[in-house]
Amino acid sequence: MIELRGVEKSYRRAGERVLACAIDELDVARGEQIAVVGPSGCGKTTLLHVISGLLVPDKGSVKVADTELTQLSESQRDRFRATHLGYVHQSFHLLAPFTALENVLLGALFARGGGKGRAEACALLDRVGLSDRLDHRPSELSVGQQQRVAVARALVNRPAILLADEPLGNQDPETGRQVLALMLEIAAEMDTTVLIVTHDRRTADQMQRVVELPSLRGVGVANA
Amino acid sequence: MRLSTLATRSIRQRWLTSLLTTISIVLGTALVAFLWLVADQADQRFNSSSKGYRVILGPKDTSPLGIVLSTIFHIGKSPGVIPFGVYREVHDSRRWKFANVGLRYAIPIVKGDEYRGFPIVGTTDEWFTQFSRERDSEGRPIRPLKIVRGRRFRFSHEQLVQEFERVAREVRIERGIDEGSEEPDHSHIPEQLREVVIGSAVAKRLGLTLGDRIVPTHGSGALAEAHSEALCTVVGILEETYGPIDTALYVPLALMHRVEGHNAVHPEEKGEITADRIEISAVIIDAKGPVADQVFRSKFQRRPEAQAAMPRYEIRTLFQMVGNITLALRGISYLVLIVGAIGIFVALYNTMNERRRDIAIMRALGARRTQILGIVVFEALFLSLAGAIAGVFAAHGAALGLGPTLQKLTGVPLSGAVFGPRDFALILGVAVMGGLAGLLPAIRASMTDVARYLSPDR
Repeated sequence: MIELRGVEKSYRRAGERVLACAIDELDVARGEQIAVVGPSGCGKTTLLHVISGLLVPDKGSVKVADTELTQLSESQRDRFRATHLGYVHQSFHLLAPFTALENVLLGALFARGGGKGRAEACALLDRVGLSDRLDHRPSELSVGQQQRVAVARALVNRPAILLADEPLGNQDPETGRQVLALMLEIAAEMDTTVLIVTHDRRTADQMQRVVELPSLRGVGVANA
Repeated sequence: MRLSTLATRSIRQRWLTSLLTTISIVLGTALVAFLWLVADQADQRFNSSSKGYRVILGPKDTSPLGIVLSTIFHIGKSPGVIPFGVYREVHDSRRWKFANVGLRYAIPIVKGDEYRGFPIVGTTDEWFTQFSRERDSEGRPIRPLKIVRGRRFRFSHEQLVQEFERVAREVRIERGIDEGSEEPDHSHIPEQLREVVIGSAVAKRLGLTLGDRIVPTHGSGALAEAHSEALCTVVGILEETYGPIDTALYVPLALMHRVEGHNAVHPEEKGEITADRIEISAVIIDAKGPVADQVFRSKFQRRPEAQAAMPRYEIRTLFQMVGNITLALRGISYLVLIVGAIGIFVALYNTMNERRRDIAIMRALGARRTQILGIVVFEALFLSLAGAIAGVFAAHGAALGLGPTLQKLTGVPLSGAVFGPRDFALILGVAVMGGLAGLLPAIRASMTDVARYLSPDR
């Protein structure tokens, strides 16, 4: 489902290029649930951005759901991301002016167009235990509830791949792990491949497989 | 959930900025629409109302524009007087020709009195039987004025001549030039002379109907001097002409010289006092042929007692005079509109920083750059469209509300009830301008660095 070969992504800082992510080889099978762990700055978040097509690597191949992302235009990658991927961010990134239901519907909006996905959104919010919080704005929800909304939004299009960046966020680890377990359960029912990045070993242990990224500290890239 | 929902929700979230931006658009649009309304209606009124008046003979020592404004539009005071002899000369020669020009009509006018702010015009039968404000394609009169209720008064040219001969004799006796016992009796004015036909606007606004009595006054307001001896009965109501004819009252011309305090002949008049020396305000003339106006003009250029004013020419001059003011006002209103558009630009541009995180989230959810661009441009379009629509309605509302006051001050009526294609063009234009103002912030939004703004520490 995910195949990365010789991927490198760097950025420019003070005139020098700094390596942000380097992956020789990464394979994730369909339906697999893996965790990518590693110290801060090893490129975990950059890896997610590359897999989601938000960033294009400087070199290497990124094949996701049989599509070579490096060959796609930006707008094709946007479309691909909307239809094939779900994304749970570390701080959940819910939009403040919208209710829980509307935040979930946002996920459907860019994949399917306006006015669609309401039934699925309601069903998913029900599944994550928020059927009585549909009209609540993020500021009216607890951190755990916000995480559940973020999970529902990521899964509303039944994505082939679910990416999660430190999905427990800054909340109580026990509550976070419960939500994570729920997320993995729903993803398994949807046959969705899950890749999470975390620095928390206990979170990683909930996954089927753990991949460790080496530290990139001190690894530079020659001036281009 | 639709893309437009994202835009409207953003507007709602920043309601104060959105409201202030919209208000600036409302003001700009309202100013433009209001100026258009005033300019259009003034233009229409001045041009269509002057059709029946090809030439007006008026006093020499005043501006021709003053004669036109006073005689046709009842704007300003009567600019002076001309001797009755001038009218008689033109009128009596019209059966054949005057200065080799064929005449259709020559109608005398006397002004000076009013009734509750509406001017009273003294004239003859010919105002109702000859004068025509409507013209065919060759400029020929189509039909005389129509009386929709009641009848016209009867006061012919011949009666006027007889009356003025009598008035002249009275003046001569009064000044000791002639011997006689006839003392002018101002207290008894024949009922036939105390009949009034009123314009439709006068009837409507003052609630007058047939049989009502009115007392003409000299001047208006607290200083008005009532001519109770000239108590008139309303005998007819004219059809609506949507012009200044509607806002006047018409009485037999002789009435104006019968009332107390009116000097038929200037007190310091030294020459022989005849009917021809009696003063009237103007003569409305319609002549045949394309060069008739010019013939009158040149003929009276050499005469000391009157001049020929050509309304068509004077109104054009008037519009040229006020044209620069109108242009300046339009310039200001366009500037206000541009400021409104800049307001949209600044408001959107400034909020972009706080919205970048939201935009990055949408991009991570699969929103394309063009969709982000569309959302921001829609927001700008929505604000400017709402502002433009409200502005046009505000302008028409202001015209409705200020119309009566403006008419009182300037004599030009203003109606706000008519919406024209130009209003729709204005709304569309302002919306497009607003949309364009939103384009740069929209491009900036669409270029948001997603990876950077999704960072958890943002």
